[in-house]
Amino acid sequence: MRVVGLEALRDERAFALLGPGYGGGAEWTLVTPLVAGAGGEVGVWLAAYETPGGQAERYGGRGELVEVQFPAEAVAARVTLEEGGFLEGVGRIREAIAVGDVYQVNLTVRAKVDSLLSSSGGGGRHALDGGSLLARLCSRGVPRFAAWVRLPDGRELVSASPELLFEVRGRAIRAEPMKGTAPAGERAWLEASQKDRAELAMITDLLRDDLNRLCEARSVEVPCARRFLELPYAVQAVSDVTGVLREGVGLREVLERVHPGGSVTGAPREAARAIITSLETSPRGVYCGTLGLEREDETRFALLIRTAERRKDGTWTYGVGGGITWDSDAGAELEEVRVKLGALG
Amino acid sequence: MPADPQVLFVENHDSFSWNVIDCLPVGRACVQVVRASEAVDQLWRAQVLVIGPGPTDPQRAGLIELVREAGVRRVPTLGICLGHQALGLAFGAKLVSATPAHGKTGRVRFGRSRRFPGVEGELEAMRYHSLALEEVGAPLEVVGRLEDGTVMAVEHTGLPMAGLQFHPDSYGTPRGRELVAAFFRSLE
Repeated sequence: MRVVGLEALRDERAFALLGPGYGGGAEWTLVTPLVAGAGGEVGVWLAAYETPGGQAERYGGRGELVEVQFPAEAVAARVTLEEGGFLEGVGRIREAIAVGDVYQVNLTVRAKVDSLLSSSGGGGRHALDGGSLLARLCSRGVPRFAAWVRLPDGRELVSASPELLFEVRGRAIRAEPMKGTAPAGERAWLEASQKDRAELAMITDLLRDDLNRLCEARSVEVPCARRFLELPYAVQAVSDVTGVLREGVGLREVLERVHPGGSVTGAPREAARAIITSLETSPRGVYCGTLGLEREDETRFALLIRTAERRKDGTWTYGVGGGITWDSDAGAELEEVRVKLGALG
Repeated sequence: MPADPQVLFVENHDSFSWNVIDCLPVGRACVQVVRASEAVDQLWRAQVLVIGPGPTDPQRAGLIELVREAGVRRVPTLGICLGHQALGLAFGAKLVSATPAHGKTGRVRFGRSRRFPGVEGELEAMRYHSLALEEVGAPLEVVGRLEDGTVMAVEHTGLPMAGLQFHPDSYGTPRGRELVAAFFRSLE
């Protein structure tokens, strides 16, 4: 197997470097545009939060399993949280819950990420290379759905997502909604939290509903209602929802139903999305969208949380948020947001 | 009632509707899904009316007239969550604010009932509501409550109509399918 450095995406024609979770093994997948007859055809799928799942973009390519060599030292980055409106937003959502308009809403804010190294000498923001940001996100262990994607139209994203939106093998589909976050080492606290248990239960039932619309009658199950993933900076709760897709249901139909993922919208999805639109002051973009690797035998889509998108000035926008329920305390939710910033190192 | 009755399912912009449909003891082909605004016009097709869950309240969701009409035509009706609240309001109960309990389970004590035969006793139930029925009286009867008295299930004493405040369709209600099947069996 080839060992590549981060120059693989800087210098080669490759447009996507996808972490081990996408392929299901220990290796990364490096994707280059398809050359006729080159074999190894894969599809890289992307849908921003605002893009309907049925209109997700698909980029065909040749996938190569590689080992990635990161630089010994991660570059320094500066993270500035723009939390304006968050605390008020939590209050507005709780009012909507009390009168029955919604059950849970995922409210998010943005952080700016740039380089600490001054290149221009001025006081402005400084560009941070995507590879350097990826290396930073991987410096304490590679996130399951780590990714670096540079599209022909200039868009670029770097992700440290731990969340599987869904995977498909033949007609078997599995979703893994994630709800509930605690600082690393606080698993016992998270396990006992009734508020976090309820948050996950709601989204688990929402994913069951998504899959019930796509799957054979009575095939949708919850083999595990709650388990915990330990990350370097946090512990997270997930559940497993499985089903058997009806004959002829393709990826686009699945995406049209499950995207944007229930864990980043809330429930009911339609009401939650309307509230998100009314409260959040900037678009989410690829953050809370989905990135997938389609392969002949198995396909996985990650939910793009812990994800940064490059702005035109070379700085990055990183989104963070949390599920707001009746039991939410605005200050505690803001603390949870800060825990999630920890993915940036 | 035929073995596989035609079900008219009222979808109220919810994210749990297809869980309810999957929980019904009939084939998918027997279920017609409609919005509240179309439901009265389609009521003639229904051998059973199932009013699903959803946000807002029965008044704003436009469900109360539908329940009254179903009552006049004696269409067997099962209301779930929002649908249960619509049943209550259509037959004289009050709807009040309760402590929101979205995604939380509770122990529901079921008494003897016409519409849920065989489920007497306690069962674990997933709840998604912030409003609850109060002052339930004739022609309705409360057949299930939480320990704190919150109304969780009602039925009509003279018509084949019942409501469940909790979600029998949830994975957090282990005996949910059994409960819905009991309602359908009671119609035979």
